Amino acid sequence: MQFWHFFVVRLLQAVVVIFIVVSLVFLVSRLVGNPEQFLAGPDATEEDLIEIEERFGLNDPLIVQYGNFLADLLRGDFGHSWMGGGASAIASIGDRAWNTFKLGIAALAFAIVTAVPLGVAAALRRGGLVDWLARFLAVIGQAVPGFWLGLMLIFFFAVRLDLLPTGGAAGWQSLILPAISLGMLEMAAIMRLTRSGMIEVMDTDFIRTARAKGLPERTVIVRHGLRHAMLPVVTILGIGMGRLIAGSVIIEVVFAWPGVGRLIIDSIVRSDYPMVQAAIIVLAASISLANVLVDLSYRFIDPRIRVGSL
Amino acid sequence: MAHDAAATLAAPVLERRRRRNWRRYAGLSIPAAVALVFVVCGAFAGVLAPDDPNFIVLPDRFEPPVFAGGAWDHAFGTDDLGRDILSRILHGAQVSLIVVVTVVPGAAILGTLIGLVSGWRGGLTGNLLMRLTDIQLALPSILFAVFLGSVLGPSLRNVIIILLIWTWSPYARLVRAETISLRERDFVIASRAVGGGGVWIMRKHLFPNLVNVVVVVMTLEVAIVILAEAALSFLGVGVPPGTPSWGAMITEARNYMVQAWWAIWLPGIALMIVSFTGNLMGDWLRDALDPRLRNLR
Repeated sequence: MQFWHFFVVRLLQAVVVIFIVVSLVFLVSRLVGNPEQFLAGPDATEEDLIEIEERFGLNDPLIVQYGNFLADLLRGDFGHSWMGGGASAIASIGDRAWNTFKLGIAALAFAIVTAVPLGVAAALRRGGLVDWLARFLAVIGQAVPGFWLGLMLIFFFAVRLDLLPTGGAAGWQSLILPAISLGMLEMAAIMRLTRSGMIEVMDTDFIRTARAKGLPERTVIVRHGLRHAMLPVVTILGIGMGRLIAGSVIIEVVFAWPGVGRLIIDSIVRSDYPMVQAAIIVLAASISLANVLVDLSYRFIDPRIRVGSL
Repeated sequence: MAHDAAATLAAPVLERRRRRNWRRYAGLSIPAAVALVFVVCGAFAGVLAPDDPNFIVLPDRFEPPVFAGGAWDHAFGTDDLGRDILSRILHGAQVSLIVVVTVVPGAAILGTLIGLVSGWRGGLTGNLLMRLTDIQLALPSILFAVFLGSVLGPSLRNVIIILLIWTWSPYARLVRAETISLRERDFVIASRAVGGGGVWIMRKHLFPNLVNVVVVVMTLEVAIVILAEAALSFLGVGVPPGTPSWGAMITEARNYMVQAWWAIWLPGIALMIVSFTGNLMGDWLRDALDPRLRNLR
């Protein structure tokens, strides 16, 4: 009972937050922006401007525009692009969402697969060569701007060595470089936590007990040590998920990756506000959902945490 | 006799402590030196730069830097318009420095005030203010920043406004949490009992206990702010075109990175060194002032 109560409350909170976010975007774009001028182009006549305002209802009072927008949203209509044939915004996002999802998963997979073993190895041989390398990677990963790292990877692996494509989304090869550029920051964060968690846990009594009862060292490290050290890692995955979605925007631009992030940037630049609004709703909703799921997952990983106390 | 024994016992402990102290500050000395270099470069870019950063000499385009066989008159080489990259990097440091000295204190003041008031008042005001930070969490800051940037148009002033909106929330969240825990402490209750008002208590009792947290977050935010400005300029919604910002230099150089790799390498390395330094100083300060913040990032 308490579980569902918590779940529903969190979901409602997320809905309220998304509503405020999208209202902000709507109002700021209508109040500060000047989309009709941009849509009509530099040589537009007065008549062109009036025609565009008519067509998109831009000369209605703001409150009417806002009301229409909300009414459409309630009916499940996320609006239509102001560009070309006026494609349905939610359908265009749907087409690209899978690409962004793929990129995010690949980046997360890269981060976990490299960071966890490296973090464990660094913790077990503290002060050794691996530890030194791991810590160096962690500070570099935290300091390097993702978009610059992406360009450097393109420079070496696509231009100089001609091993991988410079961009686009053709086959799994084109996923490698963007995933590394996007996952670098998460890798640094996960590795730091794994390392410090392992160092702490390997000193505890239950590890000594596990060793004393003759378990193989591998089992001690993985089943007893790592499992414990992973708790804080799961905690930051929620923040990490938000960071990955935010980071994907710029990485998609660098690699010409056809995802939601690049769609948003393109739409923002072209003042295609219905598209921007719809995409921001989708992204904000997925981040909020990810946060709720991570909160829930603590419960399964660490039974000491009662859901109500979150 | 007893006194002597205590002294002999204490000596190695004191010695160890002295050595540890020395080591603590040694860890800070290198990042502090780099930070000083950055500040001097930024503040005196106009004097230090060998050339005007926007002086175009087309015949001199794509001159390699000295460490790649170039001449000393363009120590870091030139870009596609023959502009001196060293001068542009120095002026880029100035852009970053301006952004840091305006945004970091500005966001700290804004966030601290919001956190203090919402933590102290609680109730409706407090909750409303905290929902504001939730919004910041749900919306990828970069999206809102790009959106605002395109609506407001590219200018350094707009970048500063956008970054203020982008970065105030960590202060607010931490300060609120601290304020809530301080609110019930005896010295605050005592002050209230003798008639201390809200503003008085916040200024005299809460704020001095919050300074450490705020200073640590400020230091850690330096790198975030610099990278954010670079990202915005990279996407074309930051500083106006032509401004020598490190992010903008990277965008321009990506079109000719095969002919002139140095034009894209050098601003990126500058960014990396500065954000690395900021992180090191932040970590050091956090460990020294407030180790509880270790899980901040």
